[in-house]
Amino acid sequence: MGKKEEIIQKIVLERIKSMSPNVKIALGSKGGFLSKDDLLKEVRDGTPTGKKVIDIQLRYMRALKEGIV
Amino acid sequence: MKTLFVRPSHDDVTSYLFHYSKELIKESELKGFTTISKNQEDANRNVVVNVIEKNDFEFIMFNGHGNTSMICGHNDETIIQLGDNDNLLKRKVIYALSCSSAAELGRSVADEETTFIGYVDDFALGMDVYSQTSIHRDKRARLFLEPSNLLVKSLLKGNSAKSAVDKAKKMMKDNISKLRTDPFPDAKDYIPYLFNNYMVLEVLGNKKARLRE
Repeated sequence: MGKKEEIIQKIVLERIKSMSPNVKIALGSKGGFLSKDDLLKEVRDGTPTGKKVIDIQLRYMRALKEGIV
Repeated sequence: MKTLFVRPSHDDVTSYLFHYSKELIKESELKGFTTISKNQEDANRNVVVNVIEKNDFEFIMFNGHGNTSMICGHNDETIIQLGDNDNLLKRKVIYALSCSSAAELGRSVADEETTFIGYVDDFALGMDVYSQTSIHRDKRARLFLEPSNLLVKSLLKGNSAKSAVDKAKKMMKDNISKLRTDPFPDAKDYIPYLFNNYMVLEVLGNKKARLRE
């Protein structure tokens, strides 16, 4: 993992840590919902789901910056 | 004029999609369409392929899992596979509430006579932990699935495919605004995921297609 990817991963992990413990999200072809702890693990482990979570969070942060959302 | 709904329900996510699409079957019948729904175990490849081959459906909605090249049914069995039986989708309006299937499968089948509405990347779904045993009361899931239902209702009303998608996207943005002002601490955490759905929903092929023409 490059320096830039490492920083992005840390930012996303911090965002997930700040989430409410009640949040549950289903993503992709996994049939179940992921808890906050599941999301943290997926991102930390760099799984395909974790990478998707990073993409989603990054896209949202960019959209916020550009005033799209 | 005929419509088909394919509705597996074998895990948490497909159970939510199954529940929320119930009202669409009623709506389709109310609008005068001959409506067939293949549910749960019947949402398998043999049954669904057979019913598509024997009927001239104007509209098909697929619920279920998928990826860039396939749409799945009960127990994640592949129902439609790019390069195998994707011709079954031709000359119809298709809505696939199925992760990523618009990316390659949708782009491949979409043409002047075929409309494919779907998601070019993962569809996200939020849920309220306090509603786990009563899906119909889940105020978080509703924010993710109501735009999808609006899209289908809009098509059944006779709006164009593009107009139906525009209405769904507008509702997604409205729901994001609702989450922003919601006082509960979990609300803001769903926003990036609902925004994801807004970004990855696309209409491909004939965007002017209308049911009932």
